[in-house]
Amino acid sequence: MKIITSPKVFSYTVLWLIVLVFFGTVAQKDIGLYASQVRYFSSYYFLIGGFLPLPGGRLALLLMTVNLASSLFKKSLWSIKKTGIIIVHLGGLLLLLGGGITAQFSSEGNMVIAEGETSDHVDDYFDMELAFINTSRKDSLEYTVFDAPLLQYGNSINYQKFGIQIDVISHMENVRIESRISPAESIYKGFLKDFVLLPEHPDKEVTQNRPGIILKLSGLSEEENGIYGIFLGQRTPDTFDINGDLFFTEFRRKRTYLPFSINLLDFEKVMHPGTNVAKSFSSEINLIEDSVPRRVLIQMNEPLRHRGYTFFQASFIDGLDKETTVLAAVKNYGRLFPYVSSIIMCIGLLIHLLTRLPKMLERQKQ
Amino acid sequence: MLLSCDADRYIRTYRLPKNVIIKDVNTDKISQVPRVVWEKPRDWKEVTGHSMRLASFSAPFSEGNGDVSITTFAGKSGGIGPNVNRWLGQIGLGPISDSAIEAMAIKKIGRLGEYSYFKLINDKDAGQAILASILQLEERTVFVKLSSNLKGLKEIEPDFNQFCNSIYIK
Repeated sequence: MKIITSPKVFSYTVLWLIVLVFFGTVAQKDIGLYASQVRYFSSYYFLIGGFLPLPGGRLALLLMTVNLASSLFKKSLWSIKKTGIIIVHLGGLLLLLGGGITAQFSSEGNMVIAEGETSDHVDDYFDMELAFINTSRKDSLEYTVFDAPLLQYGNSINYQKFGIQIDVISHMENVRIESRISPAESIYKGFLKDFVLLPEHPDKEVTQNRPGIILKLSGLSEEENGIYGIFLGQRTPDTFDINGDLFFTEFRRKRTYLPFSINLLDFEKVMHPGTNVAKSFSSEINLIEDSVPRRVLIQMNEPLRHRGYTFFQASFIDGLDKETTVLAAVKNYGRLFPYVSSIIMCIGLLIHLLTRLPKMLERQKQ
Repeated sequence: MLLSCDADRYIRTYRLPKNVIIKDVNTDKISQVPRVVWEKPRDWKEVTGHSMRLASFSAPFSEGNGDVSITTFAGKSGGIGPNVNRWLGQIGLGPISDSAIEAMAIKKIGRLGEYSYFKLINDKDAGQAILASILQLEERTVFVKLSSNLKGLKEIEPDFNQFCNSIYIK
């Protein structure tokens, strides 16, 4: 108990976090932002040299939380004189709680919108989903979406509603597409009759990869049962007849629909003179909610905050017919925790200072 | 195995309208006529065409340029049969029966759902050939047509397919 409540544990954990920040930042250069974040900060442990386990950021913060929370049970802490310290401890705990909520529940992705176009969904950076789209309805498309946890290698999905079984034969982080050099066996269907999907070394920036998946579908007609390949951005999807309805598939970044939409009016970028390096870029948008548009300018360091989402001006795409903006969209339920906890900790420190002040002045007089 | 037991948690179903009438936010008026939009292949150049056309493109190939047009009309606009027979007439072929046209139609899927695709070639005259797509929506029909010679048709076909697949309604 003494060890758990010891302030030394807190101090050493802070030092360890500084070490993690250093190595995590350096590692970004080689393995990219996302991989580095997962390895050093979002993990409970990581291996050095492939065998030596060291505590990751999540374990360090958990230890810190336990240490800070258990120190509140020390009897010696609970006196009027230490009101300030108690408040600082509570503020610190609130900050860690906010971090936990952010780690567990926050989501992030991007919105890619060309000038004049409107979008109402965010594409996840990392997670993929498989959508079966029923085109046979009169005035709507019906999407049946299988989330990333179901699409792992070796998984089998028995979907009663369609009466089909989907076996995941391969799930590749990055693929390249090549024409077949010899005729495909009859089990390969659709796109895979003429092409093959081959694994490609993943780029360190996740968004630069083209994920692909190879599935075995059974429960369709004799002709359609077989192995299919689908990849991100596939222009001509394979089609299936399921219970008399015509479906096609999409393997895409996980999509979150928003209760509002964003229409890009104008995208502007200013380059550093004589270079191809952007100095600043901004998007003038209409935020449309309940058919009511509101003009907003999103620019670097001036994001749009709306309904729990924050939209940052992240990037742009050159070379298309129209100028296209890339907004990073973040939904963070723990967004306010750092502000509130910082204020609480400041108040605690101030109270502690004020309660100590008479004694300090007395000592100075002596 | 455990995941499979809990699979329903990871499966979602929802519907989105095929034709969305969106509010024109710039003019603050409701646009009652859905706008047909598309992604143009990089090599194609938009050119001035007949006033009935939504757009016309010049699609280059090794021997010249193909003419691509996109038009839309309310309702079924005569249906598939009369239009295909009209195009057959344009390349010097006689009309054929509805069942022959149905057999000739290739069903494809684009962003708007299923559409009919026709490759019309006159075996005796390689100088004229037509690729056409007919996208029948609830209240209107969209026609996309490429007129070229046989060589142009073969060279432009991949871009034409992509173009047809990219069409959607805003």
